[in-house]
Amino acid sequence: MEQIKTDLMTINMGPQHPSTHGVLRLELKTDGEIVDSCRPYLGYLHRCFEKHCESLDYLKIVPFTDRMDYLAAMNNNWAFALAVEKMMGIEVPEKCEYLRVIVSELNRIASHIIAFGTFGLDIGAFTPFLLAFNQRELIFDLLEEASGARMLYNYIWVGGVARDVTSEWLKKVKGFCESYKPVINEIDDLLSYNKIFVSRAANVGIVPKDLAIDYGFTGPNLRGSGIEFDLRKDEPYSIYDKFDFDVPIGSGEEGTLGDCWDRYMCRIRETRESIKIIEQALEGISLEGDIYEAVPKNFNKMPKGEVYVRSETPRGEMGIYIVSEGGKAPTPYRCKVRSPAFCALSILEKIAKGVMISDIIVILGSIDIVLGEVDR
Amino acid sequence: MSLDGILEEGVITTTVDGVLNWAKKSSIWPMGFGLACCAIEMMATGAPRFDMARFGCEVFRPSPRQCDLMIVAGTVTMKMAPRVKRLYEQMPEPKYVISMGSCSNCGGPYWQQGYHVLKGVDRIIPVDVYVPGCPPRPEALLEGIFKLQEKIKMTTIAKKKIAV
Amino acid sequence: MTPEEIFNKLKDKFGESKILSVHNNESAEVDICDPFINIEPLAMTEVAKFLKNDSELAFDQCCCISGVDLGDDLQAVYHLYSFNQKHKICLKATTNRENPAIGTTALTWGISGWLERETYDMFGIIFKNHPDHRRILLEEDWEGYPLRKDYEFPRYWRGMEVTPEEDYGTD
Ligand code: SF4
Repeated sequence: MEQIKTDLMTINMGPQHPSTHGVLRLELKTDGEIVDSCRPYLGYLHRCFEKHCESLDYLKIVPFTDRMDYLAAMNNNWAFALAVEKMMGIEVPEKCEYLRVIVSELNRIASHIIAFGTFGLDIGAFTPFLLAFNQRELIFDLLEEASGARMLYNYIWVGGVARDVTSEWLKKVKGFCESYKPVINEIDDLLSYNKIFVSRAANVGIVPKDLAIDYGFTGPNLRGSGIEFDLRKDEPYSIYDKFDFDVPIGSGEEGTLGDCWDRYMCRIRETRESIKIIEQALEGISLEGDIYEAVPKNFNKMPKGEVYVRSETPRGEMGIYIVSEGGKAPTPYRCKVRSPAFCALSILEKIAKGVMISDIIVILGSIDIVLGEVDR
Repeated sequence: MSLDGILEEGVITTTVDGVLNWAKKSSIWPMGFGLACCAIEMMATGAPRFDMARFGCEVFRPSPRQCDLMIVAGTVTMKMAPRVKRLYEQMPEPKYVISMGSCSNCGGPYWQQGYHVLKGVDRIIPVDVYVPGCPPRPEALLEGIFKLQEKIKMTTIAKKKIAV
Repeated sequence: MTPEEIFNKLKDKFGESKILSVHNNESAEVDICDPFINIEPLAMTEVAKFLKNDSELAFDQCCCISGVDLGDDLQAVYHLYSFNQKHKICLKATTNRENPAIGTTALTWGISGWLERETYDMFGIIFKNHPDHRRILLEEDWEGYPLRKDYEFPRYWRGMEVTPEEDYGTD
């Protein structure tokens, strides 16, 4: 029989689609259920962050960094603060460093746990979502008490933090750490080793090591491909060299190295490491001292020059590139954000060929993008 | 529902408007339509702690054709604006819109330099309730939904008298 | 490898006309900066290929490409990192404002494709031989390049008001 010729069908997924994690449009060319090519269209949430930076002074930019990656606002604040501090040569008081570590690791857990919840939701498991949001509310209670806001904190300022905490708060954090540990087992029982879940996520969307590096994977995505690289460990900033923690990497346990399941599992295991870090920080912190000591009153002493500073956010390496004209101008001349999710998303074009449409959703969920950060 | 009277056991009287509005207001189906940071708070409102389901408002539908309520949660950008409008047009009547967060109310923090941000979603679609905040707390969104329910309660199917 | 060593290695390979200069704080006359190498813009493609494939250099990840508007010139700044050798370098390619063109690196690093598209979108720098040269964040019919310093906000776009006239006194 002669081969039957069929045409490719174009399917638009998004910008309003429940599984695209926000406003992302994918143009899929499909041959039946098999994807032939996938073209992402971004920019539906482009909010001109970089233009805003050029007209605001450094302290006022911090709230805007919150709104980039709204699931991990603390880590973004910190990334930006690190860049400005490096530029001005500010020594941050030790107490602030400890507070920063605690809040941003808490936020990292919150972010990873949302990733877990929405990933479950994407592939049809509803209960993980409820579990995730429950845990997240507990973290939000803590962060709200520390910073005064539920989600977008504006807490980590250049040179310090915005509010002091009490010893009761530290006790509550400790209590949370205790209560969180059994939750990881629950997550494992509920989703990670669930037969259906494993067969959906394992062996899908395989990203080998060289491809992962080539396409700018960082953070849990990169570690999912089996590369042990964590900026907290390899280029320790702040006080991360004081803590003892492991860097979980993917091993192809349930399928092939670098598949969706590996990336997912890296996140879950990372939350356990975060708990470890928090517990050590709680022991090391002392509540003496002034938190505003190093916060600059103004930015007249800003040196001329440029810095590129990388730090580890839940989505990977966030790089902040600041160019400053020096003293007279209180605003950055240029501020560019290297967004980890933007880079990770670019691989979709490459690995989408030949997978099923439903696997696109799994891949998208497993690289854990936040559109606010992709588009900025 | 406003009861006019209870005649005997099991029989009550009310107005047609009353019963229709009661039905409408107690089962608002919102569209699962998130744009930005506010969408996460909208999800949190649907999640266990705040539990929108208590107010008959939990069935997030992915398709606009099954929805009564559009919660515009987040920043509407220029590129997204035509799509928001299209989605609104696809919803069946009666339809309601809640604008959640400063961004969709007026452009929010992106008012000054936001060359790509629409300065308020009410420039393209009609809005029933505005919920201020950046992001509004889930409680605030719930309050917005109560306000919408009050508004629904006051509608009538009778033709309005035209003042001469 | 230190930036100077990288610079010398590149210069031996490509010659002085393509690899222009290496700078640190003092020679760039700024208070703080990472060491960087100036590259002739159109030579970027071959330099990138060499940087990646040479076993001593082995820059396998392009972290970031940022455009900068220098007034008369436009500049693209490349931050590279090598997972293999654990070293990093910053490259700069400066091009003129009227006909901004830089050789693409999209064929070398997968991620460059999108980063360059973003730079084109925001600054209007053309990347020569880019396989998919389109805007990425803004719509195709958007006019102007927003991050250039002389960008003027449009009043309307497709019938929607971009800069409202009424001033509510935001300051
Ligand atoms: S109002 Fe605030 S929280 Fe809501 S979308 Fe806008 S910036 Fe984000």
